[in-house]
Amino acid sequence: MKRLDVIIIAVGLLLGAVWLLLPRGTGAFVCVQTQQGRNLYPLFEDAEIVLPGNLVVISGGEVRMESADCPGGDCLAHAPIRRAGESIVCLPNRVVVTVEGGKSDGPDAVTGGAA
Amino acid sequence: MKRSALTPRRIATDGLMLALALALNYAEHLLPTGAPIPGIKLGLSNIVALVLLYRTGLWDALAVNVLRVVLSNALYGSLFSMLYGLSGGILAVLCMAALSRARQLSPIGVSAAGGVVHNLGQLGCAALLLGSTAVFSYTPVLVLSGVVCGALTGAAAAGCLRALRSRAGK
Repeated sequence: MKRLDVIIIAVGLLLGAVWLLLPRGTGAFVCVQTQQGRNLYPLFEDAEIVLPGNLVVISGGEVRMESADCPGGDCLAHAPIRRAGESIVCLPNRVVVTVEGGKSDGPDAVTGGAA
Repeated sequence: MKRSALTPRRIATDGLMLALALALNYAEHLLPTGAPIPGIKLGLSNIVALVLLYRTGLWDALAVNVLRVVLSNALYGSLFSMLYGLSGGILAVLCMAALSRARQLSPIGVSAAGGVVHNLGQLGCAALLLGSTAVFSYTPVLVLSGVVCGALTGAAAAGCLRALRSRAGK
């Protein structure tokens, strides 16, 4: 291992760690984006959102993918999310579940994009 | 990079390497990762790509990597994971090929950078497929796992390369 190797690894680790530890706002809404469009649900109201192929469950201020008919099931393996900016993606079904913050201080625009 | 002729020896070696990469990929596929986020894996077949990159050249590494992704996803993946794998795999090999020419870098650093580029390529591909930037919330985790897993497979590749060199020296 040479000095530049150490620098690359250190920079990568530092960058990832700092980014990961950046404070994130608490969530307030759940944005569910499908091919049909996007819908917002309150995070602190328990709900089951039935989609063609996926079942999204909001419970106790957390969101998780309860079931999915995709072959991989990667989205089912994802830990529940609750902080603003976190998301669960089911790529085969093109479903993106994102927790959004309550304050309109900018982050809302990040998840945008034509639905 | 000189593009040498397709000798039988080269074809046989690359075929063997492809089989090895597929076997490593499958072994890894069977192991549970325990990661809270899908997509985090060691990337054992990157060892094969690195060895090819240093011993034979860019074209062999690229061809074996692309075929490995296509075959593994045809066997036990999906079209989506194939697109993911291709975008990450091709970018990573190109990036590692460029960096491997730098004398100041060993395969460990080259592979760490390749791991990050691989993961970022997959993220970009996912963002394009979904038409949503929400996936970029995974970036920090994938940068970290790319560095760690890349460095580990790089260390393994460095060991293989050392062993191959000392055998050739006899």
